[in-house]
Amino acid sequence: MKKNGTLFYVTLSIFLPPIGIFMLAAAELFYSHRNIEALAELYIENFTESIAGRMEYGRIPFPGEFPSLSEDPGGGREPVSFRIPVLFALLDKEGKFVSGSERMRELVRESGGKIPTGIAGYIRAPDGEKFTAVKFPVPGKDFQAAGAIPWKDVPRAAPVRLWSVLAASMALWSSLFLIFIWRNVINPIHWLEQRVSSLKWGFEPLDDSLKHATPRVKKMHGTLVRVSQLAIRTTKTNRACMNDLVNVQEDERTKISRDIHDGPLQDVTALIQRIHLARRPDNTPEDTRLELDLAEKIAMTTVKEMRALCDFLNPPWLELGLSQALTELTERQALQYGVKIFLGVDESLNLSDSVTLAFFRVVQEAVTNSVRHGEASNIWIDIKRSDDGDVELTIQDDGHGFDITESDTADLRAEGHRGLSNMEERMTLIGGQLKVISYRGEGTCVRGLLPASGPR
Amino acid sequence: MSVNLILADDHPLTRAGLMAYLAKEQDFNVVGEYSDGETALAGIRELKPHVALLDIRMPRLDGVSITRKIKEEGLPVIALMLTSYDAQQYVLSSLRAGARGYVLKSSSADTLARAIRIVARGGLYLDSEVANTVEEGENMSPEPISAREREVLLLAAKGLSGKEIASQLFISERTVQTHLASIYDKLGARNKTESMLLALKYGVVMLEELLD
Repeated sequence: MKKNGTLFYVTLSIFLPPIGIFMLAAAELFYSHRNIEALAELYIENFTESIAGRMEYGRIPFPGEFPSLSEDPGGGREPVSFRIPVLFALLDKEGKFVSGSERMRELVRESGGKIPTGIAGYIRAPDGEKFTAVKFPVPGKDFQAAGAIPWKDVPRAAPVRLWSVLAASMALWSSLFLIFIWRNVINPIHWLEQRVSSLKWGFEPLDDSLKHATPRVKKMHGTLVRVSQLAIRTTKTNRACMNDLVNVQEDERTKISRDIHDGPLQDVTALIQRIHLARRPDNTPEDTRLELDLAEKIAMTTVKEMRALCDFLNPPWLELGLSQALTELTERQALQYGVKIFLGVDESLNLSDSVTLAFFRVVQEAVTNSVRHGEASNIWIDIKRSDDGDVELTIQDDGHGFDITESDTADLRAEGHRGLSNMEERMTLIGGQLKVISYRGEGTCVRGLLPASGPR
Repeated sequence: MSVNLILADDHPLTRAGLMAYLAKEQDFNVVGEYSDGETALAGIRELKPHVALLDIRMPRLDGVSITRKIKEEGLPVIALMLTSYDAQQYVLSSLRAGARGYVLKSSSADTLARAIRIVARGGLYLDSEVANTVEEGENMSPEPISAREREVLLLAAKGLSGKEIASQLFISERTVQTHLASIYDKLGARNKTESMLLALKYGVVMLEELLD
């Protein structure tokens, strides 16, 4: 339906203007033809009648030789100046040829009876030639004067004959043009529209073969092919990201599960064992007291481990703001790792929750790395706003450092060490950057920068 | 008869608790105490204790792998698994590896002592928490299962599917399902693994048959 509709409108819009022009031209030609015909009739009547009149008064000799006026324009007298070719003949009473031009003799012989008297008319010779002809009796004589204009010699009538050829070639040209447009523009666009609407975007590419099309349509097709390929790449990237996300989540779960198994689960098991031991019937009161003391100690260890687990998972004191959260974190870490941590946080920063969390995690990771990999004993943390309004985070340690060139973060990540890339991603997510500067034997410096234009 | 034991457990608190359990028994003699799988295996090779108490999850080498090594090397050591997990699949893989028993670390001292004595005598001990919680007396015996049901159970225990069992016994798959349902019912099991563990526990099938 849709396809037919398009074809119809295209055809109509292509054919309608030329058809209109043709009709107008045809009408124009028709009327001009009529005018020439009327002129020719009037002219031949006047001409013939006047010849007949002149004969009556003997101004023109007859019977005698009458050259064809058109054939010998210089030979006659008055009629010679006519620009319209005229044939003339003198006929007898019965209409038989007496004298005149050779072509007139033929015409009279073949169609003499058809030549009207008094009023000029249109006649057609057996060989197809057309004439406007008339005859008049010469008053007082037994002769008739006949004149005819052969249409093929009237120059202005030529377009009339050519008109049909022009119309046909114009129609042919329009048809060819329509076929060209259909094949190279409408059809390819139609095909594209159907392919694009049924394409599984992001999963299959658009076919890149389009044989017949104009360069512009081909260009559009090329663009669509590229867009479809881009969509596939995007899908792949998205899938990789999702995969990464799921993997990270699974890893995290495994780690939490292991932490619970190796920590609280074992502690509580040990607690149950101590309760069993405290309840033994052959215990002395002293035995029981010792077991219960041990049980209490184990219970306290359990609580401590679970607290540490909670803190690791999501520290409740994050709500207090960056300064307090970092104070709490670094005090715990200093105690846990036996290191000195010097913390300096600009109190007037007033950062958003997401930025606070990111900075918190970066500090947590950086301190852990400093202790675990750099074996640092002093760590300096500084967070302040620069003159440009950017927020700067610096974590410097006195550990043994490492050559950053020998281990790219991507390689480390591939080996399962996510520490550095995690810090980078945290900063990137809040619109910031992270740089690690380290040389073997000179400690490590982790520098985060959150531009003033970034989210707060 | 005194029993020589080694204990391998990576968690210090539970290890201390288990040591306290074992110290109370006069006839138990703990000859080695280890906090990881590799040193435990070295100790087993060197000391050749009667019974090795092995935690399933340990750093460097896990308890199931140690058990498999004992079996492969033909050491005269009986492996008894000690664990915090009550997953039946863990139990089954330990038994397949050659362990003669499975005790939860949270069991009482008496339960542990009884388990050690049973496996030291050559018996099989499965913790009541692992295979069904109902334990009505030591010698509670279930409704006897038929010879055909026993065959089906053994094939199922070897990991054959219902279809494979059916083709091997020249019966329909439907009949296999009927037999299995009857076995679950008689043993009080809820699934295939549990029915195997209970069958072992009640002595309906022997561990050797299951491992063939």
